[in-house]
Amino acid sequence: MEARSDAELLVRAATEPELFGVVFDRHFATIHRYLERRIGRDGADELSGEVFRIAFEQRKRFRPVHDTALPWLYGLATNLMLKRWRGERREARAVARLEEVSRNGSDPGGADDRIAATAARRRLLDALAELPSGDRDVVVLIAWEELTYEEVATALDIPVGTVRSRLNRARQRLRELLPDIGNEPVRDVR
Amino acid sequence: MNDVIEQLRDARPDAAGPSDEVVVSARATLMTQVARGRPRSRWRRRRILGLAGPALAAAVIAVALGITLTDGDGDQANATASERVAAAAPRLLVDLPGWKVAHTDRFSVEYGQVTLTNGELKLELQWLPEAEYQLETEKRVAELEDLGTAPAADGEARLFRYPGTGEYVAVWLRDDYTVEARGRAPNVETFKATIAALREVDIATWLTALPRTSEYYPGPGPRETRRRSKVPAVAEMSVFKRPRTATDVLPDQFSTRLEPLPCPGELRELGRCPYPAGIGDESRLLLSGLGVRQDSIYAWPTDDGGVCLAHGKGSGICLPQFERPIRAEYVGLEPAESEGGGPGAILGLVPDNVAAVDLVVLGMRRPATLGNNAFFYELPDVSCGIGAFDALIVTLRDGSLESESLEYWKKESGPQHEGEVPPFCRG
Repeated sequence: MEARSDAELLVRAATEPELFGVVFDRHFATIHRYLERRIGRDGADELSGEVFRIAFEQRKRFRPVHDTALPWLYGLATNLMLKRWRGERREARAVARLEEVSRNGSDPGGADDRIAATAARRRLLDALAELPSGDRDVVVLIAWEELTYEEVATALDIPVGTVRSRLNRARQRLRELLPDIGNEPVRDVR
Repeated sequence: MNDVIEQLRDARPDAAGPSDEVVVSARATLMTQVARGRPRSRWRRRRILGLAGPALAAAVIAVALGITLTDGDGDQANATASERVAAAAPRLLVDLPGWKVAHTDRFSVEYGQVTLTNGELKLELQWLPEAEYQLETEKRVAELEDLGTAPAADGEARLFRYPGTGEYVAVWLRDDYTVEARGRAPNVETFKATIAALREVDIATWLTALPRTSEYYPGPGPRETRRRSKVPAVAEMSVFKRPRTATDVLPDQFSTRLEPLPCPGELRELGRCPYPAGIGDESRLLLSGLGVRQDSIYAWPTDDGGVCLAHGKGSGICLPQFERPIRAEYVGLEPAESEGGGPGAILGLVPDNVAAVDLVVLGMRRPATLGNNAFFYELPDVSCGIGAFDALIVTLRDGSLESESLEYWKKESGPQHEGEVPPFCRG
């Protein structure tokens, strides 16, 4: 097993590019799952490989703030996703597909039932979609990907203070949109 | 009460992660890029490509390494893959004394790289899809010194030199491939002599010449896999199987849509070009006399198996295949006031296994007109825009349902406050 840190590998990859394959092996599945949650499986299949191709091209720009390259890769994935999908109806379709994927076939009822059954979850995802994209990125990276504030700052190339302020603003907005969120049986509708 | 961020954490969508096929494909593509993206520093060039002319003297092409292709399951699989690659790829070796294969990168039917050497000189030989030839040569024309053409492996190569160096690149087409040879030489004549000596050998000779450690992509190349992973849309639309009549001929306003779109550089680099061209002679009229505008929907196949739809003055969509979870491709219509306005509508294409299409309009389920693999629904009130649509429901012939939210259209068309919504739109 390769014991060197991502940071060390990426530095060495400047002159030994084959080492980048180790970074790919470590993190491809994680980045794919991140994209899958945000834009659906097809989108993840399409973009996750590109994330690593871009990462390889930009490997000399990697700043070894953390031992792991994951925050940097999350940032590349986020930028690529927004660049490629923003403004297209595919983005909105992807959100809808995400709901279908996450329901995972647990709703055998009719069409009206299907629509109703996803209400709570949809409200959460719709509220998330209402956030400005910068705030949404922060929320997703913290809530779904479990990054630290410092790692999110690295991923999005913003100061840690901005991460905190975006998160606070997002939390406030989500509470406005979902005043009764504490009573929602969110997990039941998966 | 839980924090809302905690609630979102609990609502995190499941993600299955990449399939093995996706991982293998992405890795193969990346490592090919890695192989092609080696540093261009002068130090690196010297280290890799330190050629010296006088050493072109002794033995023959391939050195038999006694490779055993059936050692264990892994080797067996690799052997099978290697034979598949060998059957398709350009099996070029330098037919000059002392040359042998020094190194290979993991490669597939589509991409590969072999480093050849005679002990003093090295030649990196790559093969790429034929479609990349233009991009490869354009890149060189823009960056390198153009030295014209030179014979290479029974063909004619474009020859380039990195300005101010002794590093040369030759690019040429061979069968279904773009072939690129790169090497450093004391002079251009030495490099020309080396690439002119490239000869294609038989499968056994080629495989025997490759190092035992060579890795082969197991199966078709990544792009071939992608192409085959989904059923082309045209194969799922029986409207294209019925005899064509005079009414199926495309009106003039659609003719410009048959031409492939210009392909921007970024897409070219991603291997997504050229865009498919439409096959106008196979067009069909799917629906006509639709709504207040008496619209018609036409469709035609493209040369990659996809299908394009057009209506009205020529706008429309193209799709390579029907995707899940919603087996319908659609567009929303919201006529501009400058064009006379009118009610919002939705139209689209569906495959043969769709039995019905319904729209949910502000909570009410409404059936769409469906026929000839197309559907159409127009809101009955002229003041109702596409923001009135809640969802699209597709009923398959096996009785199963697929639905997709159209909520995002509300955002695109602006909020529909209660006081602004006409009676029908309130349901």
